[in-house]
Order: sequence, then C-alpha cells, then structure tokens
Amino acid sequence: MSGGVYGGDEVGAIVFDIGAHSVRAGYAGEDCPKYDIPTYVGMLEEEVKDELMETDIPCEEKPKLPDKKYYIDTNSIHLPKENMEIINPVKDGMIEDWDTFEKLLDYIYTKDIKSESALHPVLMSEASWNIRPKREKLTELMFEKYNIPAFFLCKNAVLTAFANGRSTGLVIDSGTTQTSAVPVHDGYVLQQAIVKSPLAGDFITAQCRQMFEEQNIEIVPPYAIASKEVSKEGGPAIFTKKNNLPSVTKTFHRHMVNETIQDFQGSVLQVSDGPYDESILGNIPGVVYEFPNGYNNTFDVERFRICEGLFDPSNVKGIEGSTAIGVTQVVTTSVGMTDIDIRAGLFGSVIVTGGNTLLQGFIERLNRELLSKTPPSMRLKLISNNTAMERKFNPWIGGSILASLGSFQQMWISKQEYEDQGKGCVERKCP
Amino acid sequence: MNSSGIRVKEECVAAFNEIKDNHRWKYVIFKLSDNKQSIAVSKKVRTSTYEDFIKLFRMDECLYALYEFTYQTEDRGPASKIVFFSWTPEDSQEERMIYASSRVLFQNKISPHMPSVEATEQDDLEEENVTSRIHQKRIIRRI
Repeated sequence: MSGGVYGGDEVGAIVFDIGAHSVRAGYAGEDCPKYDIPTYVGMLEEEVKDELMETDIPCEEKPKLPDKKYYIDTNSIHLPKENMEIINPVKDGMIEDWDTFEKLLDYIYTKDIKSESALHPVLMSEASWNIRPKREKLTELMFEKYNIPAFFLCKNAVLTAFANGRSTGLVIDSGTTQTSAVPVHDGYVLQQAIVKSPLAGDFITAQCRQMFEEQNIEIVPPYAIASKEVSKEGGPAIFTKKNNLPSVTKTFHRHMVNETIQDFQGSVLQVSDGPYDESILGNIPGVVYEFPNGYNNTFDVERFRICEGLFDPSNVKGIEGSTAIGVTQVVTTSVGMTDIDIRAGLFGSVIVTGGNTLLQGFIERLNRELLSKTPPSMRLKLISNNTAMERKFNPWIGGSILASLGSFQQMWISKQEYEDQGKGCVERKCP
Repeated sequence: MNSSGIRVKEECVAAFNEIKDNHRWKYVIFKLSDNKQSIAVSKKVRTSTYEDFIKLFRMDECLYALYEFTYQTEDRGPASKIVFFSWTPEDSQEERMIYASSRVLFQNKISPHMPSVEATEQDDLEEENVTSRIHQKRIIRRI
C-alpha cells in the first residue's frame, strides 16, 4: 500500500451523528440509522470502594474519585434509581464531557453494533462550529482507544446540504437546544456567518412547563404512575402513584417530565400562519390531549401562543437581553453576513432540518416570513424533507451515502496517516 | 470541498474548451460513469433552444451540463456566457449526493468562475432564474 491510503471497503463503515438529544449510529449504505439512542445518560456515583479491592492499581496522589456507574439507552435511563443523575455529554452541539461520551460509544459498539471497532472505518458528523482542539481530541480518541482503521469528520450542515443534492445553501437546523443558520458555499461552511439562537425545542418545553404551572396542571411522568382511570375532560386526574419508588434526583424527574411535555408538544402545538392574533386563532378548533395520569383537556389558542416565541420573541418573558432571536431573523442575519454575490444562491436553497421544525406550521410560517425579507431580485426556495424520519436524520443519511461511495475510500484519514502525521491531520483532511 | 473523491475525465475539460474557444457546442451533458468512479461526457450538441435543452433534465437522473447563453447587452452588443448546471432531482437520493459533493471539484477542473445553477426541479431551470445568476445586469433580450 502506498501513501497510507485506506484501501479496504469490504467491511462496512459506521456512521455516527451526535446530536444534543440523541446519537444516531449505523452502517454506511443503509437508508436510516439502525440505532437512535438518547444522548442523555444516567450516572450514579457510588461510594469509594474499599482500598483492598484495588491492589493492582498503584496508589495515586490525588484523592480517589468515586466510582461512576453509567446507565445508557432509553430503557435504562427511564428506570427510576436512587441518586441517579441524568447528564448530557453534549453542549452547544459539541462534545463537552468526554468520559461520558466514551461510555456512550462503548455502549453503541458492544450492545448495538456488536462488532470490533477495529474493523470499521468511522464517519462522524460534527457541529459546524466545532473547534480545533475538540476535533483533534476526537480523532485521537477514535484511533487510540477504538483503534479504528480510518476516520472522517464532516460538518453536519455540509452533510445535510449534500443529502439534499446541493453544495451551496443555507442550512437552518432547529433542534433541541438551539436553532442555527449555517451558510454552506461550494461545500464549505462560512464560519463567520453562522448564527445561533437558543429558541428551539427546549425553549418550547420551558414555555409549556410555564403554562402548565399557570393552569395548575401537574405533569406526572409515566414512571410515577401505578394505575389510572378515565377522568372527565378538564376534571381532576384519577390515578394512583407508585408507592415503592426510590427517591429520585431532580435531574431525573425533570428529564422525565420534559419527555412527557415533548410528547404534548408534538401532538398539540402548532405554529400560527402569520403573527399571533388571538381573535382569529380563537376560532380554530382546539385539540384534546390526555396526559399519562389520565388528565385530559382541550387546548385552544395556547397551542399557538406557546410557539409564537420561536418567531417573535419580543413578548417572551425571561429572555430579555439574551441572544435569543426569532427563527426568521436567524436566517436573515446569517445571509446578511455573507458576501452579496452569494446571497441569491443561499435564498435559493434554504434547507430546513432538525426535530423542532416538525412542529405543525413551522415551515409555512418560516416561508411566509422569509418571502417578505427576500430581496425582489432573488428567489426564495425552502427545502425540507417530507418525512419526520428524514428531517431528523438528514446528516446521518448524508454521511451514510458519502461513506459508502466507492470513490470516497481515498478520502479517509487512514490509521497510517494518523500515525505518521498525528492528530493535526484532521484539519487538513477534513476541512 | 470535494468530499466524494470522484475523478474528472480529461474529455470534460476538452469539451468546455471547445465551447469557450470556438463555440463548437451549444451544450454538453456530463454524467457519472457506471462504476460511479468518474465523471465523463455523455452528450455534445451543436444547436438547440434552451427549452429543448432542459427537456433532457429528468426527475430520476442527475447530470451536470454546460450551456452557452447568447444575449444582447445594452451597451456592448451581443455577448455570450457559459453557465454550469448541476441537476440533482429528488428521486435520485444516492446519486444526488455524489453530484452535489463533487460539483465544486468538477467545476474547478473545467473553469472555477463561471456562473452556476444548482437545480432540483424544473422551476429552478426557468430562464429568469438562470440568467439572474449571470452577473451581467445589462441583459435586455436573448438572441
């Protein structure tokens, strides 16, 4: 083999897409990720073990850290356990807590993929604003710990654009923790024009939580419910709580409540076509929703009001003075920071992706608002995949196709290259 | 960024030069080879209208194309401009990824600075959308 090019494509590459809400993993060439596991991890700090247990480990000077036990995947983190904290290793789209991240990877390799990591090249997506030290650390981790034969790191906005048949476009990604606009030009991310706002899925969840508090609706997550009976619409819930529950942590309870609210968000909420106008929206029939404890009610204008902050944050309490700008403004601000010559190309392919965009009416509202902001000489075109699956898995699907291409095999960073040039090679091979 | 690792055959560059130097072709179509490793010339046509040209763009197949527009300018008389097309319709999921991720490499190989259009639907091909990419504001009518 010359030049250390990775030459074997007989064994399938594995594609990882690391999101704030879930990690998608699976073999390249498949239509959708086989595994989609929560990025949230349950962590239990156990008492420091007896010194005698660790005779083969040399005594270190620093104080012994308590043993941590990790619980991963939907079933394990949903099971109430005393003192188990729910943590998330991803912050601002980037890996922050590397120990926990490794545990997630360990789990995916051993429990899901069930194959030696040393056999499969790995293509990973990353936040478009990922920073060099983190990219290098990840490269090092994959080659040193997982001993993978080849690696590639690709910005998720670029993968999304490619998966939608474009090398130029504005990728607007509204996910769990933030909404971002990333201009991609000729396959490169224009870093200086990336715009982010915290108005996204978690913000909507917080808005719902606030509304429930105001209406005195207690959200009881399924884990705490032993049984329930049919209750009258708007009437008190008739249910019994489980009585043998361990005392759970605040983070666990909060996570479970959030998941319950997220189901409500997906089923009930809707983004209004135009600016929020109670006199018009009040005439639209409400939606009935039943909570896990049996409480059910009809939700009318509030299902529009909650979403309004995404597009018009001016009336939202508690975010004054922050970087919170509405979705449409995220797009226009980003385009405004790019060279005037490429703006037509960006407005001509605004690619909408991310789980939060699945809110009913989101795309229509964005389209309408952007139309009024598009210069008359330019044409606006919004591109979004129709199915929820595609919109959530866009970067993964892009990575899956890319890594399975015959011609892509020369693009990998091979283990040989890594060993010769060190972790810095990721900046050169994966710009 | 070229992320697909695809190769561009020399004949593609030659075809572009034939348009540029002596207007030998009205348009040229390029496609991915059957083994998906390289891009090659698929069709070269001497005369055609724009309407006939875009009829070749099918919903289930990607392609690259060069088309030479000729038009009248306000102050400098007749002029022409070669426009690059990247056609990646929705029904071609895997292929469109290859075309999208190879476009810049391909275009750089033949001529980096020509106007280009990325299209996925017929309405992207409307002449007005295309000519707006030609940074020549003085177009008054097509010849």
